[in-house]
Amino acid sequence: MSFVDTLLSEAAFPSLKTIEVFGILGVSDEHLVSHWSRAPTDQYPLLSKLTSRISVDRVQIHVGENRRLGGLPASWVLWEQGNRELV
Amino acid sequence: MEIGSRGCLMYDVDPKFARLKGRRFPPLEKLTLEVFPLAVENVDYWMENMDWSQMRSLDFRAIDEPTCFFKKSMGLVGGLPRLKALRMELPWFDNTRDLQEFEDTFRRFLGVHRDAGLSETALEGDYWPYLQAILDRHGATLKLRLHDPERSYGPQREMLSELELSDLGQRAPNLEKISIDINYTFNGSLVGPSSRSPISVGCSSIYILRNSQ
Repeated sequence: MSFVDTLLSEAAFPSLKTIEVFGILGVSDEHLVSHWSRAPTDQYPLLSKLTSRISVDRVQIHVGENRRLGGLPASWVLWEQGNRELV
Repeated sequence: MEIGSRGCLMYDVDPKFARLKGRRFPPLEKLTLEVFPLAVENVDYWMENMDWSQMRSLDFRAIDEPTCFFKKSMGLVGGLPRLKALRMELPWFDNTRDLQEFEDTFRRFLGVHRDAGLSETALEGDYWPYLQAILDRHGATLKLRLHDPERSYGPQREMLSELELSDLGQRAPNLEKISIDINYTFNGSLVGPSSRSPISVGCSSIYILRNSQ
């Protein structure tokens, strides 16, 4: 079982409703930020996976704390059950 | 800083603002301090002149030398019996003696018996020295936010291991919200092996059963 699978396991976290993740950016920051901010859920593996657990109704992902980006939060993605598009 | 039900928000105040000559405050319910010098003399004055019995929420951000606050609060009669939420940007120390003193004090503070466990804990920074104490005392009641900011250079921050995450679920069975670091890249891989020693765990039998590695 992977780390994310464990996080999403009903047995491991039976009451979980909200997942907030602090991700990191890879080496191609500019490309990634652009891609992340536009990607639909089915194209983004982590977000897609985190939203797959039906009993979780809120997923928030933060990236871009890295100072290489000038200290600005580069992107974040918020997903809520019932609204399967990024908000 | 909020005082009583109406609250009081103060900016750029003198660190000695609390010295309001004989005045006693209504019971404090929430205390938020940001970039505030927590001098020992101020803490002593606050502890003596404020009613801490109704304190529900502590939120400390970028506070230098917070050790004395936690140490003194444990000396209060009744402590902070209603405390439910604790948010803390963990401080940096430039010497190991002060760091050790803070770690010991903060762990003891987390372990103090209160009316009920903390229901919300948010630690930002190097939270590893306190994770065990949080789960031991507050796991059953908790919303948990653990976050160590991304590193710009050098070794990347440490994540919980899969086994530690599994153990966390066992020890915080009512967890409705979790905030957690995942060093996850665009190509879907996790970044960097952990060089940290794993936290020790209490529920060894369950832990072993969940060990799928």
